[in-house]
Amino acid sequence: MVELASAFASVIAVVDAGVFAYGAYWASEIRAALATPLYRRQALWVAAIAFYFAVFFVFVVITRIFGVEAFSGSPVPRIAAGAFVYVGVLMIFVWIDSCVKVARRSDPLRRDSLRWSSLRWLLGFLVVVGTFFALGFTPALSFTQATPIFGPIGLTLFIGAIVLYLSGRRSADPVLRAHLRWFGLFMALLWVTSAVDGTNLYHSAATNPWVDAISYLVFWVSAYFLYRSIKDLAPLAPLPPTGKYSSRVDAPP
Amino acid sequence: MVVGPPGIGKESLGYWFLRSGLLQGDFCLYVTRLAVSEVKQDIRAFHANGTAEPLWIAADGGQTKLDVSDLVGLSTKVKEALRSGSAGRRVRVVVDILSSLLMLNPPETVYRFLTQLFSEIKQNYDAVILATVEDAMHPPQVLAAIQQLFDGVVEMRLYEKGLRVMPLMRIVKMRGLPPQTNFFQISFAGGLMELKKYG
Repeated sequence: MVELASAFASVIAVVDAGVFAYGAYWASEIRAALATPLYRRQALWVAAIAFYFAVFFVFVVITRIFGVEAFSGSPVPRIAAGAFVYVGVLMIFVWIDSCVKVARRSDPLRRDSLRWSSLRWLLGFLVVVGTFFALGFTPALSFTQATPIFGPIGLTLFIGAIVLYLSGRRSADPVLRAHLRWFGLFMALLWVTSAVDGTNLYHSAATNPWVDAISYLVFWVSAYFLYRSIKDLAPLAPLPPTGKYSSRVDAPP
Repeated sequence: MVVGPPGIGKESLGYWFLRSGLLQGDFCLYVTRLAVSEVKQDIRAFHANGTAEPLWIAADGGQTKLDVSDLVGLSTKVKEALRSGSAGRRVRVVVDILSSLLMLNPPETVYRFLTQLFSEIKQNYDAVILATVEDAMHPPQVLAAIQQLFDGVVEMRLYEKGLRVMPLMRIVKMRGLPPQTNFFQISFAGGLMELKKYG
């Protein structure tokens, strides 16, 4: 029964990897179609985040198949896994930065929410230093550990979320707002899932496989939220047949 | 008037329009809600930069400072810039502030403002104005009304075809041209914007 549950969890993790990879594909397609560097950068980082989670679930499947013991002989894989989690946090920070810039561009009054143009340097420094110390002293393996609420990284992401909320409200771009809304849902669900179980690479195979399977199922939902957020990077219309539109030739007023 | 979603490259048409004008010795004016440094960064990314520069009315870093909430001041600044710089030359103006104006003012006010400004420019100068507008930010009826002020309307959009995303452009209307039904595929390569007939 346990083996069946474990196999079931592994299959769900494979599907998770597939859905995230599909999202990454769409983000890179949209990026390729966009022309303005600022918007291309935003799409690039969402693509990177989606790809990151696809790789993450590939690792999850590998640890489930080969067992945690296969990697527990040396501290190197453990630190590498911790570093992998922090790379994800760094990518989310860079994505926040790119979104705030996009939001500012679409704000008719071009407001610098919470003086982000200066604050970003301080917060970026905190993320890097926080990552360095966390890796040096407590190589964390889960997002729950990687983003403690009162730690420098958690604080940075928290302030980033506030700035994004403010920027989104000030922006007049409904597409950006939709993108932020879906991404916010993705992050919220990611946080909840990782708090329950889910994103812990080393412990995943050691815990109850049914719990893992459920948390990976919840990741389907978060992967869907990320996919929706990616599809809202830019408005996409279905291609009309050529000649559908009849053009007008109007006299000037 | 170039309509399209943010990021698709509407401004790039303006960059090449100005670059071409500067090469031909036309008087070029860029009215932007952004800082000059931001626009220049984009121009460099599109490889549309040259040695000559337009006159800037910009939020920051230009010869004249722009305040999008002051329509009267804006009109005066544009007219002053044209009077002082054009000196009988042909004039090219690129404007990316229409969306901001429409968000900060009632559409009727913006419509009246543009009608008056365009009419004065038309009477006194041999000028072409290229304006970019974000389409998702305004109600369709407002966009339709503003489109009436322009001789030509070009639409840029992202289309989804299977697993591909394609940036396409079409000429919605153009004075002097018969109705156009073709789409053109847009691509940027080797420092050039390339348009290929689609379909």
